[in-house]
Amino acid sequence: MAEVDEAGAPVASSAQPPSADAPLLRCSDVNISFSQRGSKQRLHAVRNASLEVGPADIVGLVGESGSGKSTLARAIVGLQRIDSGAVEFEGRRLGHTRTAEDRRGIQMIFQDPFGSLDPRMKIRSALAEIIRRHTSLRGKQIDTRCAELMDMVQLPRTILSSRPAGMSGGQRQRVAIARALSINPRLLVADEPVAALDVSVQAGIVNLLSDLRREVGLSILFISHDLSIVRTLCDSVNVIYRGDIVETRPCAELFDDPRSDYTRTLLSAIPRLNGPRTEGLAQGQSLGVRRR
Amino acid sequence: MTVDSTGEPLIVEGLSLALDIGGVQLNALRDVSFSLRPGEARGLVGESGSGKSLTLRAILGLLPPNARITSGRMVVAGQEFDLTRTDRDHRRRIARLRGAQIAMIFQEPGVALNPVVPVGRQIVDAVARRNGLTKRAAREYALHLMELVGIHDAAAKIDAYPFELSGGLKQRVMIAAAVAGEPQLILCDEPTTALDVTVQKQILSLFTHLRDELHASLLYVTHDLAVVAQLCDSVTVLYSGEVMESSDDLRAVFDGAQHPYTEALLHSTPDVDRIEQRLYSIPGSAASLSDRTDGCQFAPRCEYARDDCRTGSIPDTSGTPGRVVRCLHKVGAPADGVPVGGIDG
Ligand SMILES: Nc1ncnc2c1ncn2[C@@H]1O[C@H](COP(=O)(O)OP(=O)(O)OP(=O)(O)O)[C@@H](O)[C@H]1O
Ligand SMILES: Nc1ncnc2c1ncn2[C@@H]1O[C@H](COP(=O)(O)OP(=O)(O)O)[C@@H](O)[C@H]1O
Ligand code: SF4
Ligand SMILES: [Mg+2]
Ligand SMILES: [Mg+2]
Repeated sequence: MAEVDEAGAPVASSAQPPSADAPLLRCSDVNISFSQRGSKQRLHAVRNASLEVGPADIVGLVGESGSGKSTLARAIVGLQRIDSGAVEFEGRRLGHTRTAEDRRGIQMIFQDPFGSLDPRMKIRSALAEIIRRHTSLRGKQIDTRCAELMDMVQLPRTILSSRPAGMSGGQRQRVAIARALSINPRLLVADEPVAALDVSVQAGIVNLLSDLRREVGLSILFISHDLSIVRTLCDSVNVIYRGDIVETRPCAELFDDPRSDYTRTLLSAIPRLNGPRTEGLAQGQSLGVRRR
Repeated sequence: MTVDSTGEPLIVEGLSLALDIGGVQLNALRDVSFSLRPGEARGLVGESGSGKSLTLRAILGLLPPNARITSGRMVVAGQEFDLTRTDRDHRRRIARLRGAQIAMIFQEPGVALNPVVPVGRQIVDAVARRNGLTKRAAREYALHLMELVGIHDAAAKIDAYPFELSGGLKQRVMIAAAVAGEPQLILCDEPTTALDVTVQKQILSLFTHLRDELHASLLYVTHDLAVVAQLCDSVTVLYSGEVMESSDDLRAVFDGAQHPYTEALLHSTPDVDRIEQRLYSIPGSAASLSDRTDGCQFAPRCEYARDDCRTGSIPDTSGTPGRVVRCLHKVGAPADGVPVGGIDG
């Protein structure tokens, strides 16, 4: 961990670097519940969830639809109140109301990059607005920063003069990443950032995230239902099942030797390019119309 | 080329389609052909915008109003159709195919379900009528189908209206409705893309059962090559509205792609069994409809492209029956008499 720690230094511009062994982000025993329409029982979306992301780490969070991934992610960035437990960032406990400084540290991107971008606004203006709000850069410095961001996300600088409306899904996601990076966060929470993209475009974004970790030491919490991508990108994985984190392991271990039943079920369901063909229905099951 | 049309559940030949976009006619599909044998599952694959959904909709006569089929014929269960026709008689014949001969599953579950009818009834109504099932038998059959598509609390969901169900559940209801009555020809468009892998696995088992035990034929549209590898027997690869590569033998393509686009697509597909430091990404991006040109549509992104790729129409150079490779400089082929080699392992 030590060597990536050093590589991580450039991004941590405004805060003191975390001590060598402290995680950047630590969630401990986080509980989140929602009231349900027509029921007195609350829906427990996240139960006693604990996870950590170290400096320059890429940590996966996987689980089925409705398992609580986005809810936990939203709590980490301060968009969701927690019932109990703690979210700590750089050793500091974060309250529900986040200071500007808190917000600078953790940024989030979503599956649909359109959602976070104003379709009519030129990319340059959208980026400039955030940079002006969160940093002390002004005038020409902002232009320089915008150009630098385009280089970081591997887009041509000419994109700055265009609007999201005419851009491809991959380009929009790169712009969303540039926007998130514009204020130098230490942690990027990425909620299904490649789920809506074609494989080849997906590959480009996954490679970009991996470059950003290597080049500027960005830490990433990567939420995905695609375990093939998680295996490529992440150092460790948290498997969440119905609000419970059931397994946290280094990637290599988890895929070779899953421990929880749910992880095993999940791994055995991944479609494989070179795997055995899908078998038919289980013995005794059939589709037949039951005629009497 | 004429095809012997006896016994093939589906033949599509020379399908070309233009879209009217702001008064300009743009070619969205060009000369798309494939066929299905009884009990065959064919994957129709390609990236977003390659024309998969339009192909399916052309077969079903469910095209958007700005689409016009400029050439093409099809045969469904022995009946011939000139797809360029738009008269009422033709439209009626195609409409009769839907439901009776062809079951369909669409990408957006919302559109195919009736919002004011409980889902259980939507699943079995047609079949129950056809088979004269009693009310009780129909209900039991609906429950059975719902369980087969992985809805565990079927009894609690059978009387629900579509708006009360999540997207994933609606998708499964639609699949249950499509397979009710054991159809012989099923067309599906990304039926499992929105579902969890564990549910997807169950659905793929169901399709496998339909194919292996009931000899149903499936045209399976998806961008997910791993799903195609798990389910299909044959594959057709589309790019920018044209067939790039096609084979009656899926493994021949997956283990030895001859078209540079197929090779690139397979290469960029993440594979949980192949650990890579870096994923492969096809350079450039897919051309929009208005950028389609002469010659090979893939040329601007192709590593093997030469000058001759950019003019005329690219012929099928496969030379193998049951295989199509529309490429002048295919992967692994001898170039200037020197074998490039490597494709057979
Ligand atoms: N604001 C809310 N009010 C009520 N219930 C909610 C709310 N947000 C989430 N939930 C519920 O909490 C559970 C977890 O939802 P969440 O969106 O975190 O799942 P997810 O793991 O991100 O799923 P997906 O893979 O579908 O994105 C679900 O049962 C969901 O319906
Ligand atoms: N009604 C329509 N009007 C204009 N363009 C359309 C329409 N339907 C499809 N297209 C365009 O036709 C091309 C093929 O679309 P489609 O068949 O939906 O692709 P796929 O299903 O492979 O993603 C795309 O460029 C798409 O934008
Ligand atoms: S025809 Fe030429 S450009 Fe097209 S795929 Fe083949 S080599 Fe590439
Ligand atoms: Mg989510
Ligand atoms: Mg489609």
